[in-house]
Amino acid sequence: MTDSSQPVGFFALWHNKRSEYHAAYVEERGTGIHIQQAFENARDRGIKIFGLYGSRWSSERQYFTFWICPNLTALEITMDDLERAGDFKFADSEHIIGVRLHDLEMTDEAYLDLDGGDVNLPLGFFALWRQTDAFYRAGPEEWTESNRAVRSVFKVARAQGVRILGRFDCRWSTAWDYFTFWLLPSLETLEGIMDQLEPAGDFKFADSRHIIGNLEPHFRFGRHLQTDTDWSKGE
Amino acid sequence: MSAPSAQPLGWIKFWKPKDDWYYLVPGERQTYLDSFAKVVAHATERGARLVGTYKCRGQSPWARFEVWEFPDLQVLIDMSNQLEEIGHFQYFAEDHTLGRRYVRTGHADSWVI
Repeated sequence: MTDSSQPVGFFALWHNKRSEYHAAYVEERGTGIHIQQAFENARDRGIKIFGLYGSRWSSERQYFTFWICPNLTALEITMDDLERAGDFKFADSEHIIGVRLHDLEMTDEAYLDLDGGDVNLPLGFFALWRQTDAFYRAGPEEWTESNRAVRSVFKVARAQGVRILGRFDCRWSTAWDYFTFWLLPSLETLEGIMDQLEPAGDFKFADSRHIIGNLEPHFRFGRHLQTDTDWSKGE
Repeated sequence: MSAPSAQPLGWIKFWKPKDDWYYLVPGERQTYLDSFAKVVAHATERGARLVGTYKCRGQSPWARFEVWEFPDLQVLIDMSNQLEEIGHFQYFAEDHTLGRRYVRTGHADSWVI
Protein backbone atom coordinates (compact mmCIF):
# COMPACT_ATOMS: atom_id res chain seq x y z
CA MET A 1 0.00 0.00 0.00
CA THR A 2 1.42 3.36 -0.96
CA ASP A 3 0.82 6.57 0.96
CA SER A 4 -1.51 7.89 -1.70
CA SER A 5 -3.86 4.90 -1.38
CA GLN A 6 -4.29 4.86 2.43
CA PRO A 7 -7.55 6.18 3.94
CA VAL A 8 -7.06 9.64 5.37
CA GLY A 9 -8.98 11.17 8.26
CA PHE A 10 -9.62 14.89 7.87
CA PHE A 11 -10.76 17.16 10.70
CA ALA A 12 -11.60 20.78 9.90
CA LEU A 13 -12.58 23.44 12.40
CA TRP A 14 -13.30 27.02 11.49
CA HIS A 15 -15.07 30.25 12.26
CA ASN A 16 -16.54 32.78 9.91
CA LYS A 17 -14.74 35.99 8.95
CA ARG A 18 -15.88 39.58 8.79
CA SER A 19 -16.43 39.18 5.05
CA GLU A 20 -19.29 36.76 5.72
CA TYR A 21 -21.35 39.33 7.63
CA HIS A 22 -20.85 41.89 4.85
CA ALA A 23 -21.49 39.61 1.86
CA ALA A 24 -24.42 40.34 -0.42
CA TYR A 25 -27.18 37.73 -0.62
CA VAL A 26 -26.26 36.90 -4.23
CA GLU A 27 -22.67 36.26 -3.11
CA GLU A 28 -23.86 33.97 -0.31
CA ARG A 29 -26.06 32.00 -2.72
CA GLY A 30 -23.38 31.71 -5.41
CA THR A 31 -20.73 30.54 -2.98
CA GLY A 32 -23.15 28.17 -1.28
CA ILE A 33 -24.09 26.50 -4.56
CA HIS A 34 -20.44 26.03 -5.53
CA ILE A 35 -19.53 24.63 -2.09
CA GLN A 36 -22.43 22.17 -2.20
CA GLN A 37 -21.21 21.05 -5.62
CA ALA A 38 -17.70 20.58 -4.18
CA PHE A 39 -19.19 18.37 -1.44
CA GLU A 40 -21.09 16.33 -4.03
CA ASN A 41 -17.88 15.90 -6.02
CA ALA A 42 -16.12 14.83 -2.81
CA ARG A 43 -18.75 12.15 -2.17
CA ASP A 44 -18.34 10.95 -5.78
CA ARG A 45 -14.62 10.50 -4.97
CA GLY A 46 -15.55 8.27 -2.03
CA ILE A 47 -15.15 10.82 0.75
CA LYS A 48 -17.44 10.25 3.74
CA ILE A 49 -18.62 13.42 5.48
CA PHE A 50 -19.75 12.74 9.04
CA GLY A 51 -21.84 15.84 9.61
CA LEU A 52 -21.46 19.44 10.73
CA TYR A 53 -20.98 20.24 14.42
CA GLY A 54 -21.50 23.55 16.20
CA SER A 55 -18.70 24.47 18.60
CA ARG A 56 -19.23 28.17 19.41
CA TRP A 57 -20.10 27.24 22.99
CA SER A 58 -17.18 24.85 23.53
CA SER A 59 -14.22 26.46 21.79
CA GLU A 60 -12.85 29.43 19.87
CA ARG A 61 -14.26 27.99 16.63
CA GLN A 62 -17.74 28.05 15.15
CA TYR A 63 -17.99 24.65 13.45
CA PHE A 64 -16.12 21.43 12.81
CA THR A 65 -16.54 18.46 10.52
CA PHE A 66 -14.88 15.08 10.19
CA TRP A 67 -14.29 13.23 6.93
CA ILE A 68 -12.68 9.97 5.91
CA CYS A 69 -11.13 10.12 2.45
CA PRO A 70 -10.14 7.06 0.43
CA ASN A 71 -6.70 8.62 -0.11
CA LEU A 72 -4.81 11.90 0.15
CA THR A 73 -5.30 12.71 -3.52
CA ALA A 74 -9.11 12.75 -3.14
CA LEU A 75 -8.74 15.27 -0.31
CA GLU A 76 -6.29 17.46 -2.26
CA ILE A 77 -8.64 17.65 -5.26
CA THR A 78 -11.54 18.52 -2.94
CA MET A 79 -9.53 21.32 -1.31
CA ASP A 80 -8.84 22.71 -4.79
CA ASP A 81 -12.59 22.57 -5.48
CA LEU A 82 -13.39 24.37 -2.24
CA GLU A 83 -10.81 27.08 -2.96
CA ARG A 84 -12.38 27.73 -6.35
CA ALA A 85 -15.83 27.75 -4.71
CA GLY A 86 -14.76 30.64 -2.44
CA ASP A 87 -14.98 28.64 0.79
CA PHE A 88 -11.90 30.23 2.31
CA LYS A 89 -12.99 33.75 1.53
CA PHE A 90 -15.54 33.53 4.34
CA ALA A 91 -13.92 31.09 6.76
CA ASP A 92 -10.72 30.94 8.76
CA SER A 93 -9.99 27.24 9.18
CA GLU A 94 -7.60 24.76 10.75
CA HIS A 95 -7.15 21.36 9.11
CA ILE A 96 -5.74 18.18 10.65
CA ILE A 97 -5.07 15.00 8.67
CA GLY A 98 -3.89 11.51 9.56
CA VAL A 99 -3.66 8.02 8.09
CA ARG A 100 -6.20 5.48 9.36
CA LEU A 101 -4.65 2.62 11.32
CA HIS A 102 -5.88 -0.94 11.58
CA ASP A 103 -7.35 -0.73 15.08
CA LEU A 104 -10.58 -2.72 15.39
CA GLU A 105 -11.10 -1.79 19.07
CA MET A 106 -11.32 1.84 17.98
CA THR A 107 -13.34 1.36 14.82
CA ASP A 108 -17.09 0.83 14.47
CA GLU A 109 -16.92 -0.49 10.93
CA ALA A 110 -20.66 -0.15 10.26
CA TYR A 111 -20.48 3.57 10.98
CA LEU A 112 -17.75 4.19 8.43
CA ASP A 113 -20.46 4.07 5.76
CA LEU A 114 -22.54 6.74 7.49
CA ASP A 115 -23.26 9.74 5.27
CA GLY A 116 -23.91 12.86 7.31
CA GLY A 117 -24.32 12.61 11.07
CA ASP A 118 -26.52 10.38 13.20
CA VAL A 119 -29.29 12.36 14.92
CA ASN A 120 -29.36 9.74 17.70
CA LEU A 121 -25.70 10.55 18.44
CA PRO A 122 -25.82 14.36 18.50
CA LEU A 123 -22.45 15.05 20.12
CA GLY A 124 -19.19 14.91 18.15
CA PHE A 125 -15.90 14.42 20.01
CA PHE A 126 -12.47 14.89 18.42
CA ALA A 127 -9.35 13.93 20.39
CA LEU A 128 -5.69 14.45 19.57
CA TRP A 129 -3.03 12.97 21.80
CA ARG A 130 0.72 12.42 22.13
CA GLN A 131 2.86 10.48 24.56
CA THR A 132 4.23 12.29 27.59
CA ASP A 133 7.56 12.05 29.38
CA ALA A 134 5.85 9.77 31.90
CA PHE A 135 5.28 7.29 29.09
CA TYR A 136 8.97 7.15 28.26
CA ARG A 137 9.89 6.83 31.94
CA ALA A 138 7.60 3.83 32.39
CA GLY A 139 8.34 0.32 31.18
CA PRO A 140 6.52 -2.17 28.95
CA GLU A 141 4.66 -3.72 31.88
CA GLU A 142 3.13 -0.41 32.95
CA TRP A 143 2.35 0.54 29.34
CA THR A 144 0.55 -2.76 28.80
CA GLU A 145 -1.42 -2.44 32.02
CA SER A 146 -2.55 1.09 31.23
CA ASN A 147 -3.36 0.27 27.61
CA ARG A 148 -5.47 -2.68 28.73
CA ALA A 149 -7.36 -0.46 31.20
CA VAL A 150 -7.90 2.27 28.58
CA ARG A 151 -9.08 -0.23 25.99
CA SER A 152 -11.55 -1.71 28.46
CA VAL A 153 -13.04 1.78 28.91
CA PHE A 154 -13.44 2.02 25.11
CA LYS A 155 -15.40 -1.25 25.23
CA VAL A 156 -17.67 0.17 27.94
CA ALA A 157 -18.12 3.33 25.86
CA ARG A 158 -19.14 1.33 22.80
CA ALA A 159 -21.57 -0.69 24.92
CA GLN A 160 -23.12 2.63 26.00
CA GLY A 161 -23.74 3.55 22.37
CA VAL A 162 -20.62 5.55 21.58
CA ARG A 163 -19.42 5.06 18.00
CA ILE A 164 -15.68 5.34 17.31
CA LEU A 165 -14.63 6.16 13.77
CA GLY A 166 -11.03 4.93 13.95
CA ARG A 167 -7.56 5.85 15.15
CA PHE A 168 -5.41 7.93 12.85
CA ASP A 169 -1.65 8.44 12.76
CA CYS A 170 -0.78 12.15 12.53
CA ARG A 171 2.83 12.06 13.76
CA TRP A 172 3.91 12.95 10.22
CA SER A 173 1.49 15.86 9.77
CA THR A 174 1.08 17.56 13.17
CA ALA A 175 2.69 18.06 16.59
CA TRP A 176 0.48 15.20 17.84
CA ASP A 177 0.73 11.40 17.58
CA TYR A 178 -2.83 10.21 16.95
CA PHE A 179 -6.42 11.35 16.68
CA THR A 180 -9.87 9.82 16.85
CA PHE A 181 -13.43 10.97 16.22
CA TRP A 182 -16.43 9.74 18.23
CA LEU A 183 -20.20 10.10 17.96
CA LEU A 184 -21.88 10.23 21.38
CA PRO A 185 -25.47 10.16 22.68
CA SER A 186 -24.85 12.87 25.31
CA LEU A 187 -22.36 15.01 27.20
CA GLU A 188 -23.03 12.92 30.30
CA THR A 189 -21.82 9.83 28.43
CA LEU A 190 -18.57 11.59 27.57
CA GLU A 191 -18.13 12.76 31.17
CA GLY A 192 -18.60 9.19 32.42
CA ILE A 193 -15.95 7.94 29.99
CA MET A 194 -13.46 10.62 31.06
CA ASP A 195 -14.07 9.71 34.71
CA GLN A 196 -13.01 6.14 33.85
CA LEU A 197 -10.07 7.10 31.63
CA GLU A 198 -8.45 9.13 34.42
CA PRO A 199 -7.90 6.19 36.82
CA ALA A 200 -6.97 4.00 33.83
CA GLY A 201 -3.86 6.16 33.47
CA ASP A 202 -4.78 7.60 30.09
CA PHE A 203 -3.75 11.14 30.98
CA LYS A 204 -0.57 10.09 32.73
CA PHE A 205 0.86 8.72 29.50
CA ALA A 206 -0.81 11.05 27.01
CA ASP A 207 -1.19 14.79 26.66
CA SER A 208 -4.43 15.49 24.80
CA ARG A 209 -6.57 18.11 23.09
CA HIS A 210 -10.33 17.54 23.03
CA ILE A 211 -12.99 19.39 21.05
CA ILE A 212 -16.74 18.76 21.30
CA GLY A 213 -19.70 20.05 19.32
CA ASN A 214 -23.39 19.42 18.68
CA LEU A 215 -24.65 18.01 15.38
CA GLU A 216 -26.13 20.84 13.31
CA PRO A 217 -28.55 20.08 10.47
CA HIS A 218 -28.04 23.48 8.85
CA PHE A 219 -25.16 25.82 8.12
CA ARG A 220 -25.32 29.44 9.23
CA PHE A 221 -23.91 32.12 6.91
CA GLY A 222 -23.49 35.32 8.92
CA ARG A 223 -26.79 35.62 10.79
CA HIS A 224 -28.66 33.61 8.15
CA LEU A 225 -29.44 29.94 8.81
CA GLN A 226 -29.38 28.12 5.44
CA THR A 227 -32.30 25.75 5.87
CA ASP A 228 -32.10 24.48 2.29
CA THR A 229 -28.89 22.52 2.99
CA ASP A 230 -28.89 19.56 5.34
CA TRP A 231 -25.54 18.38 6.65
CA SER A 232 -26.91 15.80 9.07
CA LYS A 233 -28.49 13.84 6.23
CA GLY A 234 -25.58 14.28 3.87
CA GLU A 235 -27.57 16.22 1.27
CA MET B 1 -29.81 16.38 23.88
CA SER B 2 -29.29 14.93 27.35
CA ALA B 3 -30.94 14.46 30.71
CA PRO B 4 -30.11 17.20 33.23
CA SER B 5 -27.39 16.22 35.70
CA ALA B 6 -27.50 16.88 39.44
CA GLN B 7 -24.51 19.21 39.07
CA PRO B 8 -24.50 22.24 36.77
CA LEU B 9 -22.15 22.88 33.89
CA GLY B 10 -19.60 25.63 34.45
CA TRP B 11 -18.89 27.73 31.36
CA ILE B 12 -16.07 30.23 30.87
CA LYS B 13 -16.28 32.78 28.08
CA PHE B 14 -13.20 34.80 27.13
CA TRP B 15 -14.05 37.67 24.82
CA LYS B 16 -12.90 40.82 23.11
CA PRO B 17 -14.42 43.24 20.58
CA LYS B 18 -13.90 42.81 16.84
CA ASP B 19 -13.53 45.63 14.31
CA ASP B 20 -17.23 45.88 13.56
CA TRP B 21 -18.01 46.66 17.20
CA TYR B 22 -15.76 49.72 17.16
CA TYR B 23 -17.47 51.12 14.08
CA LEU B 24 -21.04 50.82 15.38
CA VAL B 25 -22.66 54.16 16.19
CA PRO B 26 -24.14 54.51 19.71
CA GLY B 27 -27.69 53.81 18.53
CA GLU B 28 -26.61 50.59 16.82
CA ARG B 29 -24.73 49.51 19.92
CA GLN B 30 -27.83 50.08 22.04
CA THR B 31 -29.97 48.07 19.61
CA TYR B 32 -27.51 45.20 19.88
CA LEU B 33 -27.34 45.46 23.69
CA ASP B 34 -31.14 45.38 23.93
CA SER B 35 -31.16 42.18 21.86
CA PHE B 36 -28.35 40.73 23.96
CA ALA B 37 -30.30 41.44 27.16
CA LYS B 38 -33.29 39.53 25.76
CA VAL B 39 -31.13 36.50 24.93
CA VAL B 40 -29.61 36.52 28.41
CA ALA B 41 -33.04 36.92 30.03
CA HIS B 42 -34.34 33.94 28.08
CA ALA B 43 -31.38 31.77 29.14
CA THR B 44 -31.77 32.94 32.74
CA GLU B 45 -35.43 31.93 32.71
CA ARG B 46 -34.23 28.45 31.73
CA GLY B 47 -31.79 28.26 34.64
CA ALA B 48 -28.58 29.85 33.30
CA ARG B 49 -26.69 31.88 35.91
CA LEU B 50 -24.03 34.52 35.30
CA VAL B 51 -21.65 34.01 38.23
CA GLY B 52 -19.40 36.98 37.45
CA THR B 53 -17.80 39.27 34.87
CA TYR B 54 -14.05 39.96 34.95
CA LYS B 55 -11.46 42.22 33.28
CA CYS B 56 -8.25 40.55 32.04
CA ARG B 57 -6.70 42.99 29.50
CA GLY B 58 -3.41 43.23 31.37
CA GLN B 59 -2.76 39.54 31.74
CA SER B 60 -4.22 37.71 28.75
CA PRO B 61 -4.95 38.00 25.00
CA TRP B 62 -8.59 38.67 25.91
CA ALA B 63 -10.32 41.79 27.20
CA ARG B 64 -12.86 40.19 29.52
CA PHE B 65 -14.08 36.87 30.76
CA GLU B 66 -17.32 35.67 32.27
CA VAL B 67 -18.16 32.65 34.41
CA TRP B 68 -21.58 31.09 33.97
CA GLU B 69 -23.43 28.01 35.14
CA PHE B 70 -26.01 26.13 33.09
CA PRO B 71 -28.44 23.44 34.22
CA ASP B 72 -27.87 21.47 31.02
CA LEU B 73 -26.09 21.68 27.70
CA GLN B 74 -29.12 22.46 25.55
CA VAL B 75 -29.68 25.79 27.31
CA LEU B 76 -26.10 26.77 26.44
CA ILE B 77 -26.39 25.61 22.81
CA ASP B 78 -29.70 27.47 22.39
CA MET B 79 -28.20 30.64 23.89
CA SER B 80 -25.27 30.42 21.43
CA ASN B 81 -27.67 30.03 18.49
CA GLN B 82 -29.71 33.02 19.65
CA LEU B 83 -26.52 35.07 19.91
CA GLU B 84 -25.73 34.10 16.30
CA GLU B 85 -29.14 35.46 15.28
CA ILE B 86 -28.42 38.91 16.77
CA GLY B 87 -24.96 39.13 15.16
CA HIS B 88 -23.09 38.71 18.43
CA PHE B 89 -20.11 36.97 16.81
CA GLN B 90 -19.81 39.72 14.22
CA TYR B 91 -18.96 42.05 17.07
CA PHE B 92 -17.07 39.81 19.49
CA ALA B 93 -14.35 37.15 19.27
CA GLU B 94 -14.65 34.51 21.95
CA ASP B 95 -13.11 31.35 23.34
CA HIS B 96 -14.98 28.95 25.59
CA THR B 97 -14.66 25.90 27.72
CA LEU B 98 -17.08 24.05 29.94
CA GLY B 99 -17.03 21.42 32.62
CA ARG B 100 -19.13 19.73 35.25
CA ARG B 101 -19.00 21.08 38.80
CA TYR B 102 -17.59 18.55 41.25
CA VAL B 103 -16.72 18.36 44.93
CA ARG B 104 -13.02 18.40 45.78
CA THR B 105 -12.17 16.66 49.02
CA GLY B 106 -8.81 16.35 50.75
CA HIS B 107 -8.09 13.05 49.00
CA ALA B 108 -5.52 13.38 46.19
CA ASP B 109 -7.69 11.50 43.69
CA SER B 110 -10.41 14.12 44.14
CA TRP B 111 -8.04 16.79 42.72
CA VAL B 112 -7.01 15.23 39.43
CA ILE B 113 -5.72 11.90 38.18
